[in-house]
Amino acid sequence: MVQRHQKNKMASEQPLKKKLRRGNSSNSADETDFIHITENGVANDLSAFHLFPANVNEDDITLNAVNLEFHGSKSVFRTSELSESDEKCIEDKTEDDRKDYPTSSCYSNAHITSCENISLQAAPNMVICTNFGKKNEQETEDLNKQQMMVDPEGEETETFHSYLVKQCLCGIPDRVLRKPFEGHQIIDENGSRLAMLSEWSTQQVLQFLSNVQLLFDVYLKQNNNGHICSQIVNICNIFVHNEHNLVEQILSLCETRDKYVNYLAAKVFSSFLIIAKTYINNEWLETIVSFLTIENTDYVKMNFALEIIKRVVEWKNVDIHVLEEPQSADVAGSSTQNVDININCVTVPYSDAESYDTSGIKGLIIKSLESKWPELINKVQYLITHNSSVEAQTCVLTFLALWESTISVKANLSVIDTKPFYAHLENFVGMLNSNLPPIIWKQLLSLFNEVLCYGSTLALQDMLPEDTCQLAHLIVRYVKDFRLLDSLPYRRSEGYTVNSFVGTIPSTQPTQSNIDKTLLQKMILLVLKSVAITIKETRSDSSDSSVGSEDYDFSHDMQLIARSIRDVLKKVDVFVKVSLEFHPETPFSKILIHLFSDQDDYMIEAMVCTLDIKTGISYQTPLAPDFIAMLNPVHSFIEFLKIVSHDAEILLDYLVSNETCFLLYLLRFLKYTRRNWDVFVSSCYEGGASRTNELDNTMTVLIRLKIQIDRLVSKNLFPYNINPVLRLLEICENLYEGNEYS
Amino acid sequence: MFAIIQIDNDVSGREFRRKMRPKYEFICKYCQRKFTKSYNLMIHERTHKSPELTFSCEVCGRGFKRQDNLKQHRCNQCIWR
Repeated sequence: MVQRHQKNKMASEQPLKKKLRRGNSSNSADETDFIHITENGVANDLSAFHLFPANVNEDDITLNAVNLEFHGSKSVFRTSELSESDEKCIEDKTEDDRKDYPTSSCYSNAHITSCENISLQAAPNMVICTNFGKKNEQETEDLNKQQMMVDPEGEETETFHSYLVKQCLCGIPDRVLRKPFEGHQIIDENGSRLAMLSEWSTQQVLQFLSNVQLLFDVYLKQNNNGHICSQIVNICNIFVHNEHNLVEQILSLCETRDKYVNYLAAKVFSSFLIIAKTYINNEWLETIVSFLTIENTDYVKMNFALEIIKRVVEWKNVDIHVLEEPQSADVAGSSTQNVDININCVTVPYSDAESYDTSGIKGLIIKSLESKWPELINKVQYLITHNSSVEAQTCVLTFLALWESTISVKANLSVIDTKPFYAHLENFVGMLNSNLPPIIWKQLLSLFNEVLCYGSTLALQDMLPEDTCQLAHLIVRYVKDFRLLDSLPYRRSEGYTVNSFVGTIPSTQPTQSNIDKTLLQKMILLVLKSVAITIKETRSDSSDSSVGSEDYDFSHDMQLIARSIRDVLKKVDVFVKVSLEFHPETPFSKILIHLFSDQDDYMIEAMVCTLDIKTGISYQTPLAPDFIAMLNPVHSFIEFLKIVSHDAEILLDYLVSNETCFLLYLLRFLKYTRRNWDVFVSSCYEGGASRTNELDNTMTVLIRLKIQIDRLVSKNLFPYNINPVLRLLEICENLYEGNEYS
Repeated sequence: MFAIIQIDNDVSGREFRRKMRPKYEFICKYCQRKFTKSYNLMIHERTHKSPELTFSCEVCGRGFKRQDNLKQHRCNQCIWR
């Protein structure tokens, strides 16, 4: 039923890289997979995607030609907003310029409201009560006189949408299938013709893009499950082969000055890249990255490009949602959803790893980005220091988020491919000062925290990368010598509000909270990681030396480092106590746990850091008693157990999930406890201010945890090898029992 | 200055191999970062992938990542649990 045969419709668009998907392909490694369903005959009915009249050779239309067509005709988005002089400005441009325009001067206010930061422009179907809205309505009316839409959107789009919601397009009549993708007939001075996507009304474009996005979402979800509806495969393949230049048209939608269209077009385009993988035209990627470095910065285009790249880099295969029952349960009628799944859907198996391996497209897009990186870094640095407009700041924030995603361990990118992106970090540390807006502070701190991926990676490595260590040193130095903590804008000032989701933003409606806790958390975690990395690096350097005489130097170095680390941690201690209004005598371990109480991943990573700082720094170095007490890991653990209500099941969930680095923490904490049993026991007695027996409380949780792990292991249900932790739990239990009876 | 290590029995042979082992033996298949201990690599690699479904319903067999999700779960067959 399913035939794969070579079909390359893109004349100048050879696949950049295509690995051999199946062993039975005999032609070449560049062969393109194409699924051709003969039974339904829909694959042949490609007219569904014809946006051009029959006399236009669609294969000849290049991106420039599309733009030419787009700019040459009167667009519903532009003509309405532009004055005559502006139109002349566009007409005067040469064809070569067309790719890069519009410049900000030509498009100063088109469709962008002058609203502040987060406020949104009303959706096109909402009643707009401003003057701007009235003006817009008037202009649309005028426009309709010029261009009559012969066939307004009918029921077909809705039918198509309802089939998509049911996740199957089998049995959909051709007429209905075709309609949502067909251009609308328009009549203008040149007669009747099919409108380009950019000439559709905003509502029609949004409807079209939403349907395409839903189509791609269904494809990706079914791909993850291993079987895709054959009709969905057909339609997606038509997109991938770009048989009707829909890709260029979607790309050209970034010219529109409508926030909704821009947002959706970027979303659709990134999903398209994830589906097409390496079977793409290099020109598309070049066009996107060229938006990043246009001389007269076009913030809308720049943000459009950054969003696309960010979404591709961040892409992870979809997990089935917790509340989503498997299909069998739906058929059995237990589902409360009103959606009937078509049992007769003709599906195509798509379960081979390559069909959802996105490393190829991620690699390509990272390579394209790398070529523009130094230029882009300069541009963003300039924007941070010289441009405080909302548009510029939005670009800066998206750029920083993209940077963070690129170097994130979770992006699953090769460390070799991402090496160039570690180069300019230090320039941005110097930008952390009190003049920097809090929202950019937050994004920069997130970026640095991601670079110093301690709990997931660096804590586990013996040799740390040099550029990462340099960033850690710099942070430590800035805290110690340049009062970095004091310049953190965590206190809300006049005209700002602390939004729990976004951070500190300008607003006339202040919230009750006066403190941006997220900013505090990110800053403190960053300092703790930097300190832990500095100590780890010093220790691993010394372990390399094979000559005994260097032991003295190491010890001397370590003492110097211990002194400055003590200085830094004292500063952190005082800073958190002042900012969160703790009593000056509150133990450091307690304030740390409370600072991070609503952010468990930060809390556990901070615990790994303090544990490693303690074990790293006290190795061969005598420490001041107050410093030892400050870093006592047992006190932190006791506080942590209070936060999780001494519930062993929560600890088990932490161990099984990978959302935190609890496995690493528990392993190291138990090793520490085994080595320092006396310290553990005495700390338990001195830890609680109340007269409760913390030793018994703590050990009860650990023993319960051991029993639960044991139960899962005996049924072969534990997802990985937990034996090292299990053995340590047993040893600690034995020590406890021995201790009790001695 | 130099000592010749003689490998004459199993113990010293093992010791020799341990010393001569290349420093980075374990490379992450996702990001190519290097680790010296296999367990450390395993801990690191967990960051890259979604966790497996550990907790399963005894009635319908459906798997969950977390116990609380299993407890919340109610399907047609399991409603009378």
